[in-house]
Amino acid sequence: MTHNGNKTNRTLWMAAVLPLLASSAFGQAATGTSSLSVVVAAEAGIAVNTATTTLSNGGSTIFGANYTGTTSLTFKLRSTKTTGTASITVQNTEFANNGPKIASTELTFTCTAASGTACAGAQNASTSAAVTVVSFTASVAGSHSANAGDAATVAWTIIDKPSYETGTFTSTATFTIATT
Amino acid sequence: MLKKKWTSTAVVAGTILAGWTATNAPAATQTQTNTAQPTISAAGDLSVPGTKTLIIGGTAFSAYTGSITLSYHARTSAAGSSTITMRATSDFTATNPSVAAGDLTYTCGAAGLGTPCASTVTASTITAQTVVSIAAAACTGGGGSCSSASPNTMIINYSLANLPSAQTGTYTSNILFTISAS
Repeated sequence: MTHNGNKTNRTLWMAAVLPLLASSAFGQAATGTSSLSVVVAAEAGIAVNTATTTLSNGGSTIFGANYTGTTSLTFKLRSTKTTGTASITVQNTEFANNGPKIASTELTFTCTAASGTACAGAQNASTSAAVTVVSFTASVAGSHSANAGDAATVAWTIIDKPSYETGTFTSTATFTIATT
Repeated sequence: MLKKKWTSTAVVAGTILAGWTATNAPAATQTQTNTAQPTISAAGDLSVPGTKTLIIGGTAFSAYTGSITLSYHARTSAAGSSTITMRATSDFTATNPSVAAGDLTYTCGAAGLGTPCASTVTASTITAQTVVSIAAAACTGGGGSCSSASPNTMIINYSLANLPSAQTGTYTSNILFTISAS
């Protein structure tokens, strides 16, 4: 009887607990957590908005009216906190034939930028070296442009000289943005 | 009332009693029957990868993206339903990237069971957003009126805005997924 009684007790215990488990499962919500991780690194991008910049002297037929034109840029950048720097530079190819000569410093430019430090005063364009247009120094928080990008301009000037042949001359300006 | 409860839950108990009877009455043949009548309730569970690293695209300041596969089992009652929700319980940063600022969006792929979220959703740190809705009388696996696959899966595609003003560093946001069923 005792043995039988134990079995009966076990049976009754299960009868009491099973509905409880079912009820518990019914009302519970299961969860899981997933961590999203991202590494934000130094980064930079640039767009030249003026595909072809035509330098004009306003149609003047009198010497002394320099040829001028402006190239528009938009850039985005983020430099590394504390140690990172950044720069925008430009390097030109030479005009062909007997036109203006970059190598003779006949092409100069000035700069503006919405952030960073724009070049100071007139800079001689170069075919052999990248010339700085905008620079960013290191800072505790790192440098960055506006989220939508910042504007910069390069205003070109070619000194008008009688020695140039008439015609159309082309120099390709390559802008580079770099950051660390 | 008591008798009904006994009948409905005594599957294992019935086996035990039959064994005892056979041992103590070897000269007799006795057959006992029992009624298996389990109460199947609505239920659900899910699993997600512990960590997912979002990767930048091929161009400057393109968004950080990544996908995870949500695996789940669900069973709903005849008049019930089930939902899987997600909410960011911690943010990447207080400024950006920031879930609270709306920098994290996601889309849902096809759901193995249920209806996935539609179009692009901006993630939230406040509201648990439904990523899968499962109708009544649905279940995972087994075919027939249930899905054939088990577990059911759905891909969630994340996209995190990559803004220049974000400071360099590594940041993490925890996403809590919850499945409930009735």
